Amino acid sequence: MSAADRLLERLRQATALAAGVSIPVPGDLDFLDPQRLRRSLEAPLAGAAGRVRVAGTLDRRLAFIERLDGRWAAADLSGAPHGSRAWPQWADGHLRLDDPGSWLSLATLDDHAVYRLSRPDVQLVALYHPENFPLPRFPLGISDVARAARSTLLGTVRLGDMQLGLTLPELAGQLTARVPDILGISATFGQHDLMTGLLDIVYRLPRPPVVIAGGSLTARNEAILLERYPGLLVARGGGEATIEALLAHWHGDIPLEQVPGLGYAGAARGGGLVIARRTARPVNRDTTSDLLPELDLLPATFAHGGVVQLEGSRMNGVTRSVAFRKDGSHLASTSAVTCGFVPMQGVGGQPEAFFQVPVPGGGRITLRYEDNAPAGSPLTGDILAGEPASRPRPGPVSLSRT
Amino acid sequence: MTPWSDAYLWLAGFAPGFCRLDQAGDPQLAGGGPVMKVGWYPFAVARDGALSYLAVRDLPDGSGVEFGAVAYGHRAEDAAADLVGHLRAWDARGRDLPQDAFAYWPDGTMPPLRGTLLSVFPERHGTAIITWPPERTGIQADG
Repeated sequence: MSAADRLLERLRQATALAAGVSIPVPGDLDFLDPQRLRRSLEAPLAGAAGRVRVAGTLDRRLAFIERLDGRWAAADLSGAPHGSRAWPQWADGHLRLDDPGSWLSLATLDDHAVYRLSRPDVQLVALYHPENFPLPRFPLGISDVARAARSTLLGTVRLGDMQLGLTLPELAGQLTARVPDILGISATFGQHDLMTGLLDIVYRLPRPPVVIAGGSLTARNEAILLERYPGLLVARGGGEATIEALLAHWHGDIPLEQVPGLGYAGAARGGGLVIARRTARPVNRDTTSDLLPELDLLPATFAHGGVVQLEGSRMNGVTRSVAFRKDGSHLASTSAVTCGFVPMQGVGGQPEAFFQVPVPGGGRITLRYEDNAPAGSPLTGDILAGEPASRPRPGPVSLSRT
Repeated sequence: MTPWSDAYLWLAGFAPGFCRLDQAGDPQLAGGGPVMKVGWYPFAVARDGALSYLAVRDLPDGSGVEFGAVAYGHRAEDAAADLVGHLRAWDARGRDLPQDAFAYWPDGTMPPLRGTLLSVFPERHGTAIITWPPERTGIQADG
């Protein structure tokens, strides 16, 4: 059963819609962008149901639809039972599921829970001079950060990327029209002028958002940026743990000092501005379950002729860095470079089969199969004790020299 | 120089029993030298009671290297010959793998599986496919 089927078939019953009212058919792309999915449900259900909230990561997207009696239908669109989710602590006492053993359950949400599902409004943008990046690459950085943010079930996240046609004036217009609660900016080397241009715009707003900047540029220019923009927060690491904690801080759950990997300006001392650059101690975090990015910007990346990398470029244990573009119904490579990377871990990972074979005289070798693994070890007995059937000398296999 | 790491891709797609290999301790194999140090590479073929792996030595004139196969166990001669056969086949068709040779077909789509030589790798949500180029002409094997 697909995510669309789950929405359409049983969720309709759970929401107890009046006769003649149906849940609209979401398009495939709606499932990539939770707020797009929310809008695709909200408008057609106006008057027949209450509020709609969509939260969670792409692989475990959650849809909440409020019934007219005030109760909520909660659907895990992955089909996994609600009880298998690592629910955030904030949900304790505020979000109660009637049937945690199912992917679909009636639920009771208090105002606190609805507020937490709704705020903060996070806008993540990646800054690029498109003239320097004519081939758009899928924006993995902000997409990973978006996943981390959505994993908390706090607020909403929207993404933008200047590789994909977004201009600084357009971005300024967006920020003026709708100021987010948190603005996350990702910038690499060469985008300093865009960074300062955007920050100048943001900090001139009557009520600027919380602004956090990350990427290789900010790692290099942190002191300069903090001196010019003392309200700025700088994410020094990958950003995932930082954004998760920053959302908690926005809700007042933790002080800023407990946000890991964060640099920010300290208080003025002796009449001068001291760049304290304090950082909270990074927390140990299970990164093995956070390798999948959100894919909101995947259609736009392809639409702009851009490329993506895939775990699928790991073929029976042999790896290549392959850039794929969209070609009709499939993806076609534009480049392939020899490189090594570890297989997907945690969510999306597939366990490998392995067999250990003792070597006479000590030690052992391990055979690792990613595809087409035999049911049992293919090597039995002391086969490694004997002389080999062939060897490089004498009798090598010479290949052509062309 | 010819990149030969694509030989692993060839073996990954066409050699049943293809696997990665690692070691614990410092095992010594009879006739094969120290495991993973001399003449060993991180891939092998292990199936039906035989282990075969790629071995490489420098050409006497220093102009390149020669590839060989070493095999242990049941029907080791056949296993070595199989591996050598794959190496020769890769030599003929796989040494100039173009940049656009890779494709990914999501579940529900129909990859074209006829007319060309393909390696097909099932993935979690689709299929990765390598399209190998036609056999090169004028190959002069000197060994």
